Formats: sequence, structure tokens, C-alpha cells
Amino acid sequence: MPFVLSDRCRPVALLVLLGLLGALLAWGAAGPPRAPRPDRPAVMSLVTVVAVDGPGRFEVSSGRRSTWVISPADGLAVGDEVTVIGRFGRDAALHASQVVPAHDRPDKKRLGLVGLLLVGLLLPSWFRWSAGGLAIRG
Amino acid sequence: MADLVTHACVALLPGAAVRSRYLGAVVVGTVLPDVVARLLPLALMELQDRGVDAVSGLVRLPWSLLHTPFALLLLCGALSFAVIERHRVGVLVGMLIGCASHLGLDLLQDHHGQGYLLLAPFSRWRFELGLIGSEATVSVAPWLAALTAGAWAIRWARSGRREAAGAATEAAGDGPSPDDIVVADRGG
Repeated sequence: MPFVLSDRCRPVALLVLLGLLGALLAWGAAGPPRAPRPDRPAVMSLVTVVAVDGPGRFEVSSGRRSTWVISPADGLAVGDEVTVIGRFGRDAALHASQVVPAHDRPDKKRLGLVGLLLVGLLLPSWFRWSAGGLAIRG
Repeated sequence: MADLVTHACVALLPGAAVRSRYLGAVVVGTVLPDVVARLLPLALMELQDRGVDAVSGLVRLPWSLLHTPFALLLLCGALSFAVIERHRVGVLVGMLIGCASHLGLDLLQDHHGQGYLLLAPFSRWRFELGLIGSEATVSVAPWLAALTAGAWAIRWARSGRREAAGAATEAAGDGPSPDDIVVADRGG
């Protein structure tokens, strides 16, 4: 048993590990703002359509920021997930050369919940409560 | 990311053939990256949409950074302390194997060149192999789940038969003991 994984080290090791995780998230949150650069190629992968404004413009969101996309919005509806490939214009909108809908995304999310439920149901067959924490069964 | 059923089955399917007490830890590792980097922020966004303003600060955190090798190493290390000391190293190694399997499967996908941050926070370099579409596993998952269920059914049936055979031998009681057979062989 490495000393850093021993019970004696647990409080300090947990503090260090969780502190580093917090620092990592803080580093990511404080990273350089990725302002759209005009005429540079850009890919917005798997973003959600949050508004459709007429036949030639729609808005997408990646959770942290929203962007207007200049592109035919035929067949798009709010809630759809798409990947947008194009270039940012001086108007800060993304002028799309290609919009790829992710049709199977809702099924994938459903499978995610099924997978999580499956693992959740199986957990008690792998682990049991014991004095001092979880223990492996068997 | 591939779907979680596929990720879990990647560990559960071979797990039906390989007897390891740490299989559970490996399976937890296969789902952990998406649970912390995808499902957790989705749940927070859902709460925010339902009017829970207290989570709005959390929603804006870059959760996708937890889907990187360095973050997963820290996270598995922290989670391993939930396990008793005697099993801690095995569980940690199991979870890390699961996470590696998850990242390996995800790297096969194509996100139009976006790729995954593999070296964060040391570098913002992104990489993906781009061999399959990002939703390609959705059609495979039900078949993989059925195959995995079949493999486990066979394993349980075999272990049940073995136990039944052991119980029958014990119940018979008057048969020759293994020692008797050895003596008889030597005599021949």
C-alpha cells in the first residue's frame, strides 16, 4: 500500500486532490475568452438550437455562450443539436458553410440514462458498506 | 462521447469471462468521465431551467475539463478514498483502467476536427482519431447490451451448475475421496 493512499494520509490527500480539481476548473473558467475572430474557420460541435429567427438565421448555445448562425434554418427546431462549420463574420455571427444535425442525440442521451441506471443497480453487487468505507464484495 | 451503455458493456462483456473482484471498479471508471463532465452539468442546467438560481454559477464552470486524463486521475484518486484501505489500490487501478477505456473509445469518434483535450491543463492541444461518427454507437448499443446479458447469463448458468454438482458430491458422501484415488493409481 503506497503511503499516499493509506488511511493516515486520507485527509491531506483528499484535500490536495479536491483542491487540484478545483484549481483545474478555476483555470478553465479563467482561461482566455475565446472571442470570435472574423474570417477564421470555426467549428461549433454539438450545440443546441435555442432560437430560429426566420429562414436564414438561428441561435445556438453551448451552455456557456450563445451565437447567431447565418445559414438556412430549414427543418431546424428549438432543442435540436447540430454541429456548425463556418467562419465568423464581423457581425460576430457564424456564417455557416455546413450545418450537420445530430439526429441520434436524443437516443444517445436516453442510452446514457439507461447506462447510468444499469451501473447504479449493479453497484450493490460489487460494493458493500463496511467500517471505514466501501468494501469489495466476494 | 459514446453512449454509456456501450462504455459499460466494453468492461462488462469481457468481465463475464474474466473473474476479477475489481470489475465493479472498472465499470464505474467507464462511466465516470461522462457522469462528471456531461450528466452533472446537464442536471445543473435542468435545475437552472426549473428556477433554481443557486446553481447558475456552477452551470458556467468548464465541466468538460473533467473529461481529461489529468482530471480523471485526480478524481479517481479522490474517489478511491471512499473504499477501505485494503481494497483501495485495486479499486483505484480498476477505475483508471475503466477511464482509459472510456477515453480510448471516445477518441475513435469524429467531431469535425474538434477532438478532446488530452493534455489539459498543460496544453490546449486537441486530438481525435475520427474513425466513427459521434452517434455511431447508438445503433450498436442494444446489440452489445444483449450480447453482454447473454454472456453473463451463460456465466451464471455455469457457476450454478458447478455449485449444484459440488452439492451433489457432498450429499453422496460415500464415494472415494481424492486421496483414495491417488493411492489406487500408485498401486497400479
